[in-house]
Amino acid sequence: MDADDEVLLDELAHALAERTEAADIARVGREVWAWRSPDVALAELISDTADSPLAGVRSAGGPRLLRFEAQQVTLEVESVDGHLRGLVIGQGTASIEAQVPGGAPVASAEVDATGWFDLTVPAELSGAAALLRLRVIAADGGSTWTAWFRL
Amino acid sequence: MMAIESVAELVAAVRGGDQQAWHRLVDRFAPLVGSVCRRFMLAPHDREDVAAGVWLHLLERLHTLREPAALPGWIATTTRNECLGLLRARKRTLPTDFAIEPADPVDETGVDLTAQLRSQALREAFAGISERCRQLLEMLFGDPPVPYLQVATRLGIQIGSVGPTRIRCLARLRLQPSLAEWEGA
Repeated sequence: MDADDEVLLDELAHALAERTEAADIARVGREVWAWRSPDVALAELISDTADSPLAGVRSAGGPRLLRFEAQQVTLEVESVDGHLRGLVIGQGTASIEAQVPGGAPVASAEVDATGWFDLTVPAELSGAAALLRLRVIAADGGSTWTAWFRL
Repeated sequence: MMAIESVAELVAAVRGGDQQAWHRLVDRFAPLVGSVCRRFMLAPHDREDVAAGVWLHLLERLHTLREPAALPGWIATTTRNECLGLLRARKRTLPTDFAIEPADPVDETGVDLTAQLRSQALREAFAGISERCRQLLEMLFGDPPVPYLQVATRLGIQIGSVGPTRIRCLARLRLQPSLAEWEGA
């Protein structure tokens, strides 16, 4: 038996085993297709104080601040005590929603005339480091989604 | 012989709204995501949660991705960031004395991307060979491997043909474009 063939067969067995082991990850990947929203404006996550190198030592710390930007809209969000509060800077925003993957909105709130909002996040989500995104709904019905982030 | 799409072709098809192309893209890179996750020793539920984060970010990014060749590196880095992000978020919401640290919190992904790409080329080459060859080789991977007599019976060939068939199948595997390119690189 050729030694190169033995090596190739071992490599192949390993490569195929890796695919079998990652079946759960592939399944999740197939599922997320349903949650994409290709035709909607995306507000990118520009900054997140939780990503700061000092985040780990911010034990007593201040609130976590996130900033999202799209062409038409900027969002400043403060995450504290199960609330996402903040300011929408953009034209005529009417309301805001929070959504988890694959589900209906988990929270929604009016955005007032000055752009302020206060979303109450269900406790089971804020305690679970859940994936979440926000949808800013303009007065004319148009939407902007934020990028996905983790509570 | 099955043509294997390049990453660029897959990305273009997904951008065009092709769900099957997305499935193929996900199948192709799931082992890479898995290999990064493995270092963080996540519970199965957390592993799926990290995977959801990686794939959702990929869907968001796909439209602005300029260099498809950079995708494996991007996926490895994003997976690592998602693992760290999940562990950090858990820590934020747990009592302060409850610390969870990955073995190597700030390091690179720790994944041998070259080995991952080689594995991927092998999987693609395997998909490209005949059903009969795939059956034969799969019987030989077994632990313990299926005895030649049984292989011969299942494939309906003479026992003396099993060895030569195996050699031929591996030769065909090497000639598959994904692997041939790799060997030539």
